[in-house]
Amino acid sequence: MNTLKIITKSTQETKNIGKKLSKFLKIGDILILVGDLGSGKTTFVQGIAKGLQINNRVYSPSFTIINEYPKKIPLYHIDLYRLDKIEEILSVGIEEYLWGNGIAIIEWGEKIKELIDSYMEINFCFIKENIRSLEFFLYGKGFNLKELESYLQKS
Amino acid sequence: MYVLGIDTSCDDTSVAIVEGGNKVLSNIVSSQASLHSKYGGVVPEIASRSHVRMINICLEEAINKAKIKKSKISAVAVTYGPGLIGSLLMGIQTAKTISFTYGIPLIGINHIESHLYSPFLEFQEIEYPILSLLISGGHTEIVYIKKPEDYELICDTCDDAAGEAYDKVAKLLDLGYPGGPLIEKLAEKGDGGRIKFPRARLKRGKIGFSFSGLKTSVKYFLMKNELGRIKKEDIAASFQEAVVDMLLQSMEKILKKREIKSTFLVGGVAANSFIRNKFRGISKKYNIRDYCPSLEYCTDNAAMVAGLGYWKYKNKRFSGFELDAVSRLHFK
Repeated sequence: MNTLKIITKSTQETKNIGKKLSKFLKIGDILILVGDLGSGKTTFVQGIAKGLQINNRVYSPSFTIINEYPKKIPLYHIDLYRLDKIEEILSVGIEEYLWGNGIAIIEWGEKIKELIDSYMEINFCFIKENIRSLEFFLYGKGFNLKELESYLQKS
Repeated sequence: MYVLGIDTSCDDTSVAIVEGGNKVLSNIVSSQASLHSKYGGVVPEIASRSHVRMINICLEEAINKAKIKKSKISAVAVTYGPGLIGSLLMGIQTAKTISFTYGIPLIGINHIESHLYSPFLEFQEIEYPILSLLISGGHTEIVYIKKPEDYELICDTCDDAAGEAYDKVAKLLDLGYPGGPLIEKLAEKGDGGRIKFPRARLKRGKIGFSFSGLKTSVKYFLMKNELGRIKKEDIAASFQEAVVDMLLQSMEKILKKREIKSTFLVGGVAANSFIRNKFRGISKKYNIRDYCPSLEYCTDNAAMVAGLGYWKYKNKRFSGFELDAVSRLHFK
């Protein structure tokens, strides 16, 4: 499968990639973010929010599980860090935010991959201090890798 | 006058009955061990978030423990946000049903405001203005309370909440969950001056919190220094030192600038005695009376909801049946 890999050298660069990606995203899209603690997932979402003109502070939803940002294109920032079992995840009503009226971004989203057919997965890897690699995988219909590449390479 | 309070904003279901705004007759929280044993372990980990299963158990227990008749309850107060919509709705629906059945007023309560009320459950004649530090798994906020119901959010976190930083660093140190108490315990045996973790600095003139960088610094540290050379105890203590420094630096900046009569330390992380002691110290330095609630009123509880509900009742701040759950909520 074709994937796309990008190296970022600072939190600002990670945010910028998020901001560029936001222009590519459409209502109903689902993003699954995979990566260890401190690998840049929340930072990346802050960039996406900025690109969507969301002016609220975007903070980590690890404790609150779902943070909603109502806007023309609403953003649902979800974090499954504290949840493990599928039943537990469904009990918080996550399905209401998927395929809905906004973009759903799910940190630690690998836990619910089996429920979703079409999604973009981004793997965050820690290379060394401040340096991260972001690898993009596209699953199902609706995403085009070439198109994604052109969005992310725009300056 | 009795007010029934309900809170389902996060993981726990809680129901309380409070008389006259500060006399707590019962305060039931679904995670309480006593409740588990009594109901034969109906609350395994997976059901803890299942408010629908817990709400009637908690309600019954709260009324039994308060030893009052349901008909004696004058109002029902319920958290309507911020929190998880699905969870909040369980509490709201229950409160509406009680309000309708008994013909008593319904009062919607902001979860953050109820934390700010928590010291009033135990202390009287608190002087305004108050500077309140709210620290929990989901919040890190400094709020200025000029007079009752007059709040000003001075600053909050840019990324992770203080409690979240504790949990995640505990995970990095392989300590387990919940991380707060585990780190605190480990840190007691450690040297907080051993490692100088960087304190987040915000742009000049700005105040606020950022804990994400601290979490990442602990991660970097662990990668560079194999455990054994530097003890986990020292890492935990040094981390805690950094958290407290950041929290109190911002507090102090405000204490220097504003006329403050009382300080509050509230929210789940306020249960941490290391933070409590340091907080007391800084209040003392500025000759200000500090108030830290007992541990059971620091973590999420319905007593503070019922207590604030009484205050709202007296001031006729009633809600209609259109009251809805709001996931993100500010004071105004």
